Amino acid sequence: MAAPESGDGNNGAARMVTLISSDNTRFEVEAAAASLSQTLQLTILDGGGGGGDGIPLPNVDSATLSKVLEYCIKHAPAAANGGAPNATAVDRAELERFDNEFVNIDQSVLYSLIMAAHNLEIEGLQSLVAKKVADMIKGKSPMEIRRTLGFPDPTPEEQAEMNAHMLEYGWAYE
Amino acid sequence: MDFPAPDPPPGRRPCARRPRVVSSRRLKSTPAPRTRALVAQAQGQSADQASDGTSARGEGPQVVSSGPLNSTPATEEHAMAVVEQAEDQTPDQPSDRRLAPGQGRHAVYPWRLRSTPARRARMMVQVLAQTKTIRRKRPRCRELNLDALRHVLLLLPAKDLCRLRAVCQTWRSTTSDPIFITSHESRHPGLLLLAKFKDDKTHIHVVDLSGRIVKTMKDTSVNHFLMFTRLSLACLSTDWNRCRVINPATGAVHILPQDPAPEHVKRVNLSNPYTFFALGRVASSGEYKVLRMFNRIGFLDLGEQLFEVYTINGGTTPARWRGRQSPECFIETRTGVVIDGVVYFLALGVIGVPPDQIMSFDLGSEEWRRNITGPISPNEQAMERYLSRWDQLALAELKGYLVLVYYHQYPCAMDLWFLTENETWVKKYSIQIVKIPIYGFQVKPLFFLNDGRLVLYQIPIGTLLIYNPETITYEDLRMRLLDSVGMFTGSLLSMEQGDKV
Repeated sequence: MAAPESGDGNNGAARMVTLISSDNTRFEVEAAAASLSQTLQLTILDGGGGGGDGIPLPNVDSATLSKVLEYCIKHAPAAANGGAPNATAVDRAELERFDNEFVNIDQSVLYSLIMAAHNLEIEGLQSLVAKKVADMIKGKSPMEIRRTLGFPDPTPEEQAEMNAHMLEYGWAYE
Repeated sequence: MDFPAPDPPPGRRPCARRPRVVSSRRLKSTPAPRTRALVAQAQGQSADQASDGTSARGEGPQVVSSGPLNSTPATEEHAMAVVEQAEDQTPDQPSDRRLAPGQGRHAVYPWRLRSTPARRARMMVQVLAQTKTIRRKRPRCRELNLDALRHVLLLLPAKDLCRLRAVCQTWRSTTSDPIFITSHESRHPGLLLLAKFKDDKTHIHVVDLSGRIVKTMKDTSVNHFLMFTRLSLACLSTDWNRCRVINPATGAVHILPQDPAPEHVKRVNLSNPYTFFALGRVASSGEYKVLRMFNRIGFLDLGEQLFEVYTINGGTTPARWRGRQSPECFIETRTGVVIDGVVYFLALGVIGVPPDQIMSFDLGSEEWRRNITGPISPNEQAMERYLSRWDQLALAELKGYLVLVYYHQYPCAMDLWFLTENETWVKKYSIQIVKIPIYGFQVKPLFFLNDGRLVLYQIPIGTLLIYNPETITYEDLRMRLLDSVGMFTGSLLSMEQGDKV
């Protein structure tokens, strides 16, 4: 990761932080990338995560964390530039392509990702995954949604409730 | 009838000889399907296999003997389980959903196999007995953390969300939360109209500007038309003293009483009252109030106009019309327009009263306010031109301002005079309407879009036009022909019935 404008003086070469997933895997990333997470940003600003200590993330497992970091590393330069101003159209198209591919993943991964993005407060990732899940939901019937999202089959009680609701909101099904 | 011991011969229904099974079923104490399947499992059968028996087709005996695993019920318990399940099958319907082995979940809940109303009811009774234990074991719909779920749901349009309320309790409560509704509204600021179409007067539709129907409600009123309102409620009325207020989100209907206020009883001829209604919201109290005007036409004079107010209070306390003072001169009822809880009218065109004089009634204080003089009468020349032709004036609300609409005949144009904050009139638009296929005063300006274009309503035809003041072009919205139209500013997600309707 070459961070061209990172010569802030006090940083020198890109500062690295260590993140520790719930299953004790250590990930070393640039502070700039990790700082996309609002939660981590404060810790990093306080000087945490450097050297041998690392920041433990008990809510995120290693598979999810590696995915999250993949996103952060890709998006860090754009975020450092303050979003769009001097980003070229090519860069943006490239990010968009990356995003599209990034969320094209298994549902269970998507879930852990949305939870991780939520816990770590990574806004971009949060809305990216939320949008993907919303697209999965859009235009489907309640039953299809339950199946899509892997909910258990409804109990007859729930089914009756569902039917009653469908009667009440008949217009929404047209 | 032979009792079918371990191996039931075809043509025999073992259950017929098993009163215990039958009676226990009647007592609703039969082990529920899950338990039965587990019993079967305990007897050396997998749950899947047991369920295979349930998907077997045909009459009772065949059911029992069909399927390789069921041909030799190992024990009495198992035979019972199989028979019980076989009985649940409706014999004349072929089983269309034969389960593949391995679908363990379905095996445990065989009632999912086919859903007939009778079966659902029967199963419901059985399941209710054991819901407590099952409930605890079943995962709830909480795979997504609530905040993350809100994030997702906020992205979806209201219509989808209303459908999603059926998914489960968590989703229902999330999408009904007032805070959620407010933030959803701010993210989906789409403009919605209330419409009654000419070819379907038995429904009220919530439509967006592309004419897509977002919601449909049954309209039980007869010959009511939608008043043009800009609220989260709709008001339907007739000229003959019928008025109802509807909450398009919840579908709640409030039919207003026809009886006049006590002080007006002897002055109103209810057999032929010519009435006008206006619905508005009082910002300070949040109350919705309706102003009613009875127009009694006299033989020798203009008769009298009586005014009454009614508060929509959700029917919690018996509400009635309250008589209110009349203004000093007569009003032109057709011109009524409500802005921020104030109803504005033009004065009725009689000698001595300038035609652009505006009277206004405050729904909050329930009193008439100071008259406003329009921009036409101080200009003598314009006045002369005006007097050559009546009824060329109308009132409207545009961009939150009171607007006097002045239709010219030659050239055919429509001037929009805005009453600005410092009580002065400013002519902000002069719209050439010669290009519209019909004449002036039958075109009503409804509202401005964010991009500065103006939506016009051609009343006699029932179409909406979008006028672009910059290019002076018109665009037909190509909606179904409208009988009457209003605006809907509420959220379709709103659940509150409360004191509104």
